[in-house]
Amino acid sequence: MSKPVILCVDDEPIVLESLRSQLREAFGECYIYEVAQDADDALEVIDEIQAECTDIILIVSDWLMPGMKGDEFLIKVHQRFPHVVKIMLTGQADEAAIQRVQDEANLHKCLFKPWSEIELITTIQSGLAQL
Amino acid sequence: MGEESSLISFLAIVLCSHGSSSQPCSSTPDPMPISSVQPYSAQFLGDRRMASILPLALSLTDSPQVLWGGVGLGAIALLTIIFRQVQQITERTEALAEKAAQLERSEQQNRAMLQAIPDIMFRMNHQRQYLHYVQAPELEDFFEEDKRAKTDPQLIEELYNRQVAAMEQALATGEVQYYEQTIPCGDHLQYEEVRVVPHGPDEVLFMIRDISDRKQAEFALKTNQSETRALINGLPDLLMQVDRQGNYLEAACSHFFQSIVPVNSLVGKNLTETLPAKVAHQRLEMIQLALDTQTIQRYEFTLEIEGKLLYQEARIVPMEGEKALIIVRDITDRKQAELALQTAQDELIQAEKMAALGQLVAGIAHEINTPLGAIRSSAGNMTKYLEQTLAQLPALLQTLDLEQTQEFVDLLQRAMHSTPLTAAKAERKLRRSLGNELVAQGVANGEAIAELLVLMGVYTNIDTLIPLLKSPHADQVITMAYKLSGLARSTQTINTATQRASKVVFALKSYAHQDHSGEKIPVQLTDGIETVLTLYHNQLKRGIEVVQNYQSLPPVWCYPDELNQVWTNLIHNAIHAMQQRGTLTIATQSGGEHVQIQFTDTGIGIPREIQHRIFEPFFTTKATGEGSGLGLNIVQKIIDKHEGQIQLTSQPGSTTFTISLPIHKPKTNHV
Repeated sequence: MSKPVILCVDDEPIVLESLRSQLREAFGECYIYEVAQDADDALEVIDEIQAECTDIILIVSDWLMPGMKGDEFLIKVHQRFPHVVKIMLTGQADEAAIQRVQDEANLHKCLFKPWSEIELITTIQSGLAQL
Repeated sequence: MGEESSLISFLAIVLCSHGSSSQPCSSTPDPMPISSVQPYSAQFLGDRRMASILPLALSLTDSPQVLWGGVGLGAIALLTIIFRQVQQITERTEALAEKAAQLERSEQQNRAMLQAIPDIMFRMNHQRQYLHYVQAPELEDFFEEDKRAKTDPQLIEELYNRQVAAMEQALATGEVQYYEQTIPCGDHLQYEEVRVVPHGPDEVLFMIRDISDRKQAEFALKTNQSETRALINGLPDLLMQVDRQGNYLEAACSHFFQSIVPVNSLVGKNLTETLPAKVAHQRLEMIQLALDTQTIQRYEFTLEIEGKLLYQEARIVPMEGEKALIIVRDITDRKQAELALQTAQDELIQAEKMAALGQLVAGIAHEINTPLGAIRSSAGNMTKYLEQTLAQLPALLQTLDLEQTQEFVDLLQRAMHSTPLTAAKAERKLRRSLGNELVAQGVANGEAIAELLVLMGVYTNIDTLIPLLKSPHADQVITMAYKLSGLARSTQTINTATQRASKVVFALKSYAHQDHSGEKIPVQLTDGIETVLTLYHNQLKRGIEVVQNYQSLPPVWCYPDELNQVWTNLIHNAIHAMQQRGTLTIATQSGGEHVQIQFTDTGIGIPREIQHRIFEPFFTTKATGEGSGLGLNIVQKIIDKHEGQIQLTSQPGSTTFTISLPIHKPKTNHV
């Protein structure tokens, strides 16, 4: 069985690139860091990971993306994988959307861009600690 | 009609001739003291026979009768003498008869002439006795009862007293006396002129003429003049007459201008002496233009009086003889109202713009925060990479032989200059296939190494790297290369992010900008469209493909801030109509004097029955709170302001707004 996966979803490559570097710096080789540019792409990644019998343990998702928005995506994921830690990282989200993810997808935390590395890492750590 | 009351003033005569004798009136009626004048009688005044009585007086002459009487007296004489005398008398008689006939003819002529005169004439002696009267035939119809019935006896007395006074004055001075009298006649007043001509030592001739027509004309003129004067006083205008050279010939003005124009002292001066040079110059030009073209020239100008800016409007009206009438009106109030209205409109447009911006702000915040996040994390990563590589690199290099060092440097070079994949999906595929390949080639920890290589953008010509990857220090070498090249990638990320953020900030600034100069400037319209697309990037990227079919356009004279609002409203509506999914095609083209910009969306379309209403203010199909209903109304206003046109064609699945704008700055027209 492969290493567990942390999935980052954002439509901006520069964000994915930065996030992945930060996660790698923080957690090194403990996890596989997957990225996806929209929700559909992310769901596909999740399916592939499942097919490889690999666990996805945490998702960091943007809210405002082309196509399906972050709240809808996380709720969808939650229905299939209720134990996955879900973190929203967004430049902007309306309160209702955040509330919805909290209610329906057990959102661990919502972070706002521009995010602080420490906050991101401690949030992920606290999320993973719940597993 | 007009003669009616001439007769009233003449009633005393009539009374005397009719009342004192049943005989036809004599040309020399018995002198009758005025005291015997009977009181006014309606029945008498209404007697139509009076009309025939008056001319009859004229037919009687005195001299022939007197002469024939003399002949009778000389009939008893001696025969011879008689014969001779008779002969002489006969001769004399014939001569006299001839003379009488001449007199008769002369009299008839005089009578005819007198009758032709439209006056009433009569004689009066110093004893106030009426002697002889003449009446024009026109007076005949005057004796109708109803018209006379209401004449006031007191008036007759007044008229009589006036006659007496004038007669006495005429006799005393020997000069002709004139006076006018007014007599009520039916429903109007009759005006009469009375002349009193001295005739011998104790007699005068009265001539009374109806001057109602002349009087009425005079009154009309007077009324006209006073109305004109009142009008001029009432007009809020300064009126001046000038010649071609701008010399004032006449001036009049209302109360308003009296405080600012020394109107009484204008005449005789030239307008260059009374106006600021620029205003005077313009006015002279306009006067000459008006005279040359014989058309009214109208223009507006400003004057500063005691620190207050006055807006005025001048009309130059060409007149006969190289003269012009200048009408100047103060329009400061109107101008201020116009300015206030314009300001209000500008404010409305700006408010709508800011409201549209308000709806965008959330998306725009995201657009800025995203690159900021990337910059922040990249900067953090760089710091870490630097610390780690600086600490580890010397030690690592010492473990490598010359060949491995070279391979490390080559790898680093490739990583530094690679373009990392942007598509996550492709990257994932590549990572897997590369991992499999490395594992197949016997590289330990092949999957992890493949991941780093793909992140570095090094995934081709892997064979050359195999020796290094198989070396015992492979993990450290690849990690080192990843971190060192990470400095370059982070720098690149920061650059990209900075550009992105700048673009959004610039778009915001361009959009929110409000130009107060009020002047059109030449602009590339597509710049503005791009600005708006940048601000809408967030909304568009969710599911709308933007197709830009831009044909190169010449710079267009316009108010770019306001056009941005046009693009905004149209793009906003298109996104709304497509419910975030579809294709927005923006096409530009130029032809002749105009450019065309088309926005076509693949949305639901605008039903035919509301197409004519969409430009109305407050008409909206959006839910309450989603739209002000002002968007397209403001679009229409802005396009109108540019003297352009906007057209709509719509059916489900294809809605096109076509905007046509003139390219050139329209020539300003003063007149």
